[in-house]
Amino acid sequence: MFRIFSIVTLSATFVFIYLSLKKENISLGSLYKSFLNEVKNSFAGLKPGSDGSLKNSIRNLLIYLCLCLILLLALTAYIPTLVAGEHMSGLLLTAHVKSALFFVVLFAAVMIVWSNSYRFNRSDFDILNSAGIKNIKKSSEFWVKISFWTAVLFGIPAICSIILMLYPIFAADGMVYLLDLHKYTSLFLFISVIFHTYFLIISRSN
Amino acid sequence: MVINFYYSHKVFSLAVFILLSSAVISAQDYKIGDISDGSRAIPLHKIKLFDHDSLIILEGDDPQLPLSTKNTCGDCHSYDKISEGFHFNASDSGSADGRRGEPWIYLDWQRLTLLPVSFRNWRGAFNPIDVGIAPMRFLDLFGTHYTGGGFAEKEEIQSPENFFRWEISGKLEVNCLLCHDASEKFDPNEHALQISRQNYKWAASASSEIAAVKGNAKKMPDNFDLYNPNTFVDLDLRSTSPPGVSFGKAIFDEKNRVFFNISKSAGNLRCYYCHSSIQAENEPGSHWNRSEDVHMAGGMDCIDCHKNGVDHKIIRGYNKEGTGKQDIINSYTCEGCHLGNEDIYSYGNNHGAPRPAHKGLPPIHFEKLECTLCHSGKLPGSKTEYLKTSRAHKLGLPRSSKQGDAFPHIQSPVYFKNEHDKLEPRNLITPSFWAVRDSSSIKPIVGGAVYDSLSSLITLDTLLNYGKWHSVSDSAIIGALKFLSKKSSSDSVYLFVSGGKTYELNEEGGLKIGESGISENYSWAIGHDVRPASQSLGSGGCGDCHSFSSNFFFGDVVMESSLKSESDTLIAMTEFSGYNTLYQKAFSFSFFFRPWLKALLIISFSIILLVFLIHTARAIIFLMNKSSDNL
Repeated sequence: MFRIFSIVTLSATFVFIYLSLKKENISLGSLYKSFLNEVKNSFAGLKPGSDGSLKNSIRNLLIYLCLCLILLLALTAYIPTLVAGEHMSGLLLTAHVKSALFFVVLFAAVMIVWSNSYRFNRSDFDILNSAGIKNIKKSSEFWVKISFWTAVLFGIPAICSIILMLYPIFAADGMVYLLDLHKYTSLFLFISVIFHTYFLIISRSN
Repeated sequence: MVINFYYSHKVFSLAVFILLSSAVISAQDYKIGDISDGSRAIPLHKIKLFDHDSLIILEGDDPQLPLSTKNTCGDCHSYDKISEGFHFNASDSGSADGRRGEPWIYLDWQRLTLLPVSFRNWRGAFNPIDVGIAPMRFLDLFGTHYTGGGFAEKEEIQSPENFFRWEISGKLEVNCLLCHDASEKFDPNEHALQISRQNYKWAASASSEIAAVKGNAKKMPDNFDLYNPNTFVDLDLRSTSPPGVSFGKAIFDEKNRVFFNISKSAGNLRCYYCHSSIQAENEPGSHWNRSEDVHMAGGMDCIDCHKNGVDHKIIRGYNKEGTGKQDIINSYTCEGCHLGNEDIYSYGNNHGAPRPAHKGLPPIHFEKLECTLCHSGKLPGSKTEYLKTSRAHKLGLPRSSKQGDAFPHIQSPVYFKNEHDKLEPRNLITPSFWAVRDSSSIKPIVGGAVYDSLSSLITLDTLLNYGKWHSVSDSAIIGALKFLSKKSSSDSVYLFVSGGKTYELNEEGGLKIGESGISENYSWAIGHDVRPASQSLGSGGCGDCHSFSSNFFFGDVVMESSLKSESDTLIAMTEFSGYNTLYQKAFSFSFFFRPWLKALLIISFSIILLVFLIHTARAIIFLMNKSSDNL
């Protein structure tokens, strides 16, 4: 059930994103190059005496690292479950568990650093009430915020379920339920992050 | 009109006749004692005795003849159906052999031979007939713990040179009383004794309380005839006598019937005669640490789980033994009783089986591990220990060795992946034997003049090697192989198999070492003794398995070899379980930091939650203010 559901939702997400980016004449290659440039610039900004702001560099690096980690988490989770139809085990499980810890720590840092920037304001409410909300290009900043908080909303149960599984609190049936909760909320977390990234790209291209 | 009535009446009569006949025929498929009418009471068994010629045994018979279970019990119970049961059907070509189980172990330590044999088609076990162990020889070796029936009744597989011996001894029928005679005076040792004397048809009578058997068929001449004293006139009757039975006084009632204390099961102690095992310990008093299986200690009987119908195809209780989801056999596995088989019992809990909580155990463990891994057998130590079993070590017999290191050496526990890709605990033996390879196959040698001469070629140091499997130098093996090769034809090559390897002569006259399927170790799954939950693997936390010094992953398995250069090799458990040692070490090492990592995780999550709640609170306040402004 989870396998089919996740394949369908992820496929729909990727198709939508690809077609939308194509409509905006944004290629995946150019995206990848600009991402690498931004990462390089952020690392460069860390060096003392550089032109860029240290604070901005750290802020950007946090979110880029977070993105990389969530991609790694998704790959290690979905390759065995979606492709092979098996549960995670072995090296993939080890990689997933280790990177998940770093992800949670970075996620907490991102929340501290970025949450204020993503607060809703009056102009967001005006967009909400207007017809302009349907125009993604015009309302991209609003959607960036929505997707950020959606990711946080799904991230909380995704992390909480794993923490509860680490202790002998729940019996086998409860552990299965927590695992299912983690699977589905992580899926929606991943989709939210994909959309967050997409809306960020659209808003920067504006 | 009249003609129509006549023909319709005929047709109707014919139909009634066919229906009645089929009812009678199907009724004849089962006898009166085969199917229960629902009463839980056991009918009193005061029955007539019949001998092997289906003649009734009377109190005044002279000579008295032993009872035949086939004809006595078979009067009310379908003996043919029963003899297809799992205890008796090993030699049947169509029998379902199921999961590999404990083999019979042919042991001849003077010739460095330890060979697993079985009539079942189990990988790694050799068919006794194929290796030259005729049925009568098989009974000499293993009959003390054999129930009777099967090959012991089949004329077609018996060796022609033993024809006269079988005529004297009679067939060894299924001894129903072994499992169903609940009398405290039933003696399975008598059954064993009579089989060792080749008094096959007397074995059932001797084991029961109703008769005493004396004499020795093994010492009778080939032309022995019980009714013709001239055939045993040369015997010294002071030292031996023909086999004979005498029934107890006053066991026959006025109707020539005898009372048997029959029960569906004679109790766990009877099953233990053949199915006991003990982790061998040499220290006095160490058996005090040995607890009974938790199910038995809880008052259960073996047959509460190991059920069977009239066909006696006894349930063995392992995972996926049943052929389909609906198969009621699946209700009598660990999962079936403790968790329920959703298609038959929606709630499980047969016999009040507690539903396990397994708190905090990630579900992946249930996919990778069998229940027995954590709950059965002995907890893993730094290296495997010897196990003794009833059938391998003749436990329960008057002169069985009480030494913990008596041969054969069975290593336990060893963890393997089974055919369902799940880890399970097993017992392991390391076969050691001489073999011959021709163009098509490799065949062990366990008999014949060539084999017998091997003991003179191999000098064993029984003093220094006391308790240890004997090992010899490479030169002794080379010498023996050279001797054997002189006896061989041009196509045959003699080799020696031991310690998981094959040894044969190379062109330079040295040893060529190899590995092949035939040199594989033989292992079988452990089901009992089940430990209570507080003693299961993992009851002490994740570190029971996932620690740097865990015996579960990193314990050693002692690989015995008959070659001094290879003897007592220690092999890591991960070699058998199929896990990568380095990866498991790294994974286990991460558990060292687990408490701190959990703390870091909780702190980070708390920050995320706190920031989220703060912003949510601010949003709620904003919305409340906005709505009040609008008002």
